[in-house]
Amino acid sequence: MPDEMTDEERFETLLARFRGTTPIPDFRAVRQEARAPRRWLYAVAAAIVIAIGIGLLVPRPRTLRDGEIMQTNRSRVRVNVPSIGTVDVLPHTTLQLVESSRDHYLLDLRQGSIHAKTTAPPGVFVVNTPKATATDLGCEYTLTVGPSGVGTLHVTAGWVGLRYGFTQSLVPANAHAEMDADGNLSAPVFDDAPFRTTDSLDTILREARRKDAFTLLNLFPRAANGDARARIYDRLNALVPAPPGITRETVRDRWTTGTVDPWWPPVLKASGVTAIKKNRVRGRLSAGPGRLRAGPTHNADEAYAPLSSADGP
Amino acid sequence: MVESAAPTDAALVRAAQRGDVPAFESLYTRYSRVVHGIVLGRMAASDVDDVVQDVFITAYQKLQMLREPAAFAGWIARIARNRAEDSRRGALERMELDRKTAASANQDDAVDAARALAAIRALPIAYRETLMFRLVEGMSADEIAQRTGLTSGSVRVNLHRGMRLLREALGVTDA
Repeated sequence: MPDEMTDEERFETLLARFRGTTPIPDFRAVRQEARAPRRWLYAVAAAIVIAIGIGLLVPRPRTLRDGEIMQTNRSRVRVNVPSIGTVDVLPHTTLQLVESSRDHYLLDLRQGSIHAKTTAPPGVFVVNTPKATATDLGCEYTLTVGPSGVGTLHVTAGWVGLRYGFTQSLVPANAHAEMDADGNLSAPVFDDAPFRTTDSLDTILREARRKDAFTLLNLFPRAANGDARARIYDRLNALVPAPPGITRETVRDRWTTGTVDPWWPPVLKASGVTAIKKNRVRGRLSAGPGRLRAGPTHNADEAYAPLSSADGP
Repeated sequence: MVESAAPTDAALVRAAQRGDVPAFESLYTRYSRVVHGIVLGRMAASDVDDVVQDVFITAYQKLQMLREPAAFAGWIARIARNRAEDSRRGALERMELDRKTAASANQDDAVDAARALAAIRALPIAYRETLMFRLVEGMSADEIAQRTGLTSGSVRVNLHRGMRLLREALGVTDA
């Protein structure tokens, strides 16, 4: 079956990264006896650690159980999330593991910074902050917040969904978004953009490049009124022409959350951003910030659908 | 490739029981991928190397208790499954500090690889282990049969059905 073989080869290539490369133990240091003294076992384990070059400074694994809070002072700590990836807890950070299960991890970042790298299916790893909720969509990112909820999400790979109430920002790689103390989420802005998230609408529209069409499209639901939406339309239309059916008048006077949905594909292409595939999202999204327990379980696609129609691809 | 003129497992086990360390190292070389595949099917990748080493150290310590040297393949596989299950029970309940976990998320297909691995882990054990040996450890069907004691026919059936289930789990359509 050629097709099957092709699949086998493709999976074999994809999964080769997990192939075993375990160094061979020093069996000469091991006694063949049924009841080896435990201290001898520990000595062997220590010898192995040295032999395979892991180093002398490997900290003894600690455990972080559901509900437990971690506080770092001047140190930086790496947390290994089984089957998910790693979370670096940066200095002066307070982080709580709210709950964990095989397919869902919920953390509460009260203040400070974390740097997360995940290989888990999107939607499994969720971080609450005082004001917003960050849902990992298969990525690498740094999330920083103060106790008031002011903070920044900076994504370096993949996508992260940032949500507060009915406001959402889907932030792609090499972009960031900001949260203010009232829970307002900025539109995602590329790191190399010639404007900042806090700049005025005039500045953003004036400085925006074709690549920044992604930011402009995210500004529609944040615009104060129809006139502001019309100005965004004018600039965005100049950068990436609107698809048929999306007119200035529609955007200005008859705006709904789905009005500009057909604009997403050309805007993503112009911005060099790869769309998220809905069927990649698994698990559930937390119901809201600051909850110690996750909210009602949602079907993954149901939970994701509003993101698609309201604020992102 | 499976070596035809190499010593049998039983011969290597008997030699190792007499204190011949290189003989046991040959068994390690022969079975480390099998043990790695079994453990990886049950645990986070970052924890697997330690457990694989632990399995072989345990096997070496208890080698005198193996009364039927020709049964080494099943014996080492059983130790691996038990050891991985013991470790997994703890791992699912906690988050560990582990600085040796390698960062790998930068690669474009890392997410796809993790999804595929997760999908294999969710398969029934017969398909899971066979696919681990084939797709992760790169073993041929004949080699899997020789190392596990399964017939070649069983291995091929497991591969065929396992691949079908894997495709379904990942939403991959047949071309």
